[in-house]
Amino acid sequence: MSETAEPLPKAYYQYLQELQALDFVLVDLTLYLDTHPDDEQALAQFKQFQKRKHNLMTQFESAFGPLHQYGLSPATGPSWAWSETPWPWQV
Amino acid sequence: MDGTSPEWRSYVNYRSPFDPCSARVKWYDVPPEVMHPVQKSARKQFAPQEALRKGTLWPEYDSPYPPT
Repeated sequence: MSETAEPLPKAYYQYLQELQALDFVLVDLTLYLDTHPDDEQALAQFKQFQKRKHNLMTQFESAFGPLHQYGLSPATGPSWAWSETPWPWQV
Repeated sequence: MDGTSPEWRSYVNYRSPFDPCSARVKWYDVPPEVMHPVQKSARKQFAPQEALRKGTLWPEYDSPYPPT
């Protein structure tokens, strides 16, 4: 556990904001697809946004550390990064 | 709130003959999902950042509070 005293770079917040927006689009498209399962164009868009989110998450994780628990994030680097600050409620 | 938009409807409630206040038309907002209960198409969308701000991806279902 190490303390990060210096403020986080702007990119950190830009990444999170972008991820939040993509997540929201995915949620709304999910709701739409639940009632319109045969809309191929919407499904293609869903997949496209999924890919965008995945790419963004990969970039974020390689720059700032893991996003997910349960082994869903790659454990890169020589040491354990999950317990490192900042934690979500600190940003 | 001029009665021309289908999203705003007006009503006048019962007024007692002893009511000191004058009759007043009241307005209420009909949410867009009442107008279009079944979504027809997913083509019209907000940009992701804008959708996050507005709380919906669909301009058709966007119903903000009137500016005060």
